[in-house]
Amino acid sequence: MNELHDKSVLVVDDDEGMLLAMNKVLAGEGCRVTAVSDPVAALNELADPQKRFDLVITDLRMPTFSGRGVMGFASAALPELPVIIITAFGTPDVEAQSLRLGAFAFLEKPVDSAQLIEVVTRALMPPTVGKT
Amino acid sequence: MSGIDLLVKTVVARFARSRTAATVGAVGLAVVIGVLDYLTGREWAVSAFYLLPTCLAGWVAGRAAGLAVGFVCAVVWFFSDRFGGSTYPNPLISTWNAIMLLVFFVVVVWSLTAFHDSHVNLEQTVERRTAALQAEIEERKRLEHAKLQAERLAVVGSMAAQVAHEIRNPLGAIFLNLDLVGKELGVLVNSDTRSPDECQALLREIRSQVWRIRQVLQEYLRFARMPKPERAVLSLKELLEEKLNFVRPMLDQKRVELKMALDPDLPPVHVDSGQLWEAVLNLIRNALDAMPDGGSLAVTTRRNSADALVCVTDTGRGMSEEEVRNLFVPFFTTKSDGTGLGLAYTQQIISEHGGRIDCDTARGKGSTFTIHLPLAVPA
Repeated sequence: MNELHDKSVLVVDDDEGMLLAMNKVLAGEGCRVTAVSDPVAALNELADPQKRFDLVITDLRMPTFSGRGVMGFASAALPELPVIIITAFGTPDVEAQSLRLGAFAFLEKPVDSAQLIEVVTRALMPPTVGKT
Repeated sequence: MSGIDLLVKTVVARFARSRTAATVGAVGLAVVIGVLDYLTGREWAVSAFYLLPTCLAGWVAGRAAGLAVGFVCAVVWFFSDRFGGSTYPNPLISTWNAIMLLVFFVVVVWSLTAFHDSHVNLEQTVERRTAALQAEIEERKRLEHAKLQAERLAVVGSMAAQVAHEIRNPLGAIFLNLDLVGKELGVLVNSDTRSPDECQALLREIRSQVWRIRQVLQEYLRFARMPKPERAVLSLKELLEEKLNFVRPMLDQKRVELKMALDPDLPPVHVDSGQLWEAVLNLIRNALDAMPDGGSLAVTTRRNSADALVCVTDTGRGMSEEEVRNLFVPFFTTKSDGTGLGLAYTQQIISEHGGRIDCDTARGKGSTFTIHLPLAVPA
């Protein structure tokens, strides 16, 4: 049984192909994945007291609501919840800003599964380990 | 045009070419007029002809020559008048007339040369202004061309950035799906007791091609969206020593000998260390591509007045004139897998730092790229 087994991960991405692929990769590692393509639905998931997530992975540029908004909401409601940003529109400035706002890690698409799993594993490690 | 006209024009043109020839010719002409004056006697007045050599010398050879010829004319007139049968009641009248003639010549030469000088000045001013105007027109044309080029590049850059970003999403999905397919294949083929090697090799090939696309996209984006340099005052020797030691294993692998000559007394520079190293690394990569069978790579630093110089020299194949001309032109490449942005990006970095980069190359001998960076505290 690996470190990701039974971890609950919320994945938010408006790109269906990417969402499905991340879902499969993480599910393959034993995570319980909730995949949503609508950021507003992601806020509802986070606000649901019945659900408890260990990690949020969110795209940055999405219609209706940005990933930064999802991260802001998650940080306000659940300060201990790590958030990983994954985007196709990354620049050094956006990366720096995201990390400053509290993202655990900033990934630029495309990422391979090994890289994704490695960052997710680090994010789910006990908090004694420093952030990236 | 008559024969006489042609002769006069030819003679004038010849005299006009040389000040000495004009002066000597004018003196000769004065003597000829003097002889004519003497032979014609008092009945035929030819004194006005003396103006001809005086004016010729003054116009072509200048004021001093004009005055000298004027003096000669007055003397010649004096002698031809004196010995040509003049019967003045007072013998001093000839001398007085010669002096009057000389004064007249002086006034004419003075006025003529003043007019000539102002004419020449005007011509020179017009020439100077025309040249300045032409230079300004050329400069404006060059700036307009550069502006147009920059605008085109900005459009291309922003389009490239947009396209690159848009491609990243599907590329991300392909990447992850490839890994999933690889995993599934491994399970399937193992259960069938067939070797998964071929399928895995194909997947590896697809993955490597996707990696290549990713690299190209990253280079395009890096070029289109270069961040502003975050500068600090640092020693080039320390920076390059540290970074070059990291790339040494890669150079060994490619059978390239690294020679470092980093001036320990070189004053510090004010640079973004990350960007500067990227620029130097691009030059090193370029040098390695030029030496596929190995060779020698020299990285040196030295001071040149208010600049610090970083030279990267290889013993590779060198470059053609066309390659040198297009060296820093974005998207120009001679490599089958190149994007043509490496050196353009390098130049962009160095320009952002207020420096410049130039290249010396010799076919079959190698190339030297020199980065000029302003020192942190100018001399």
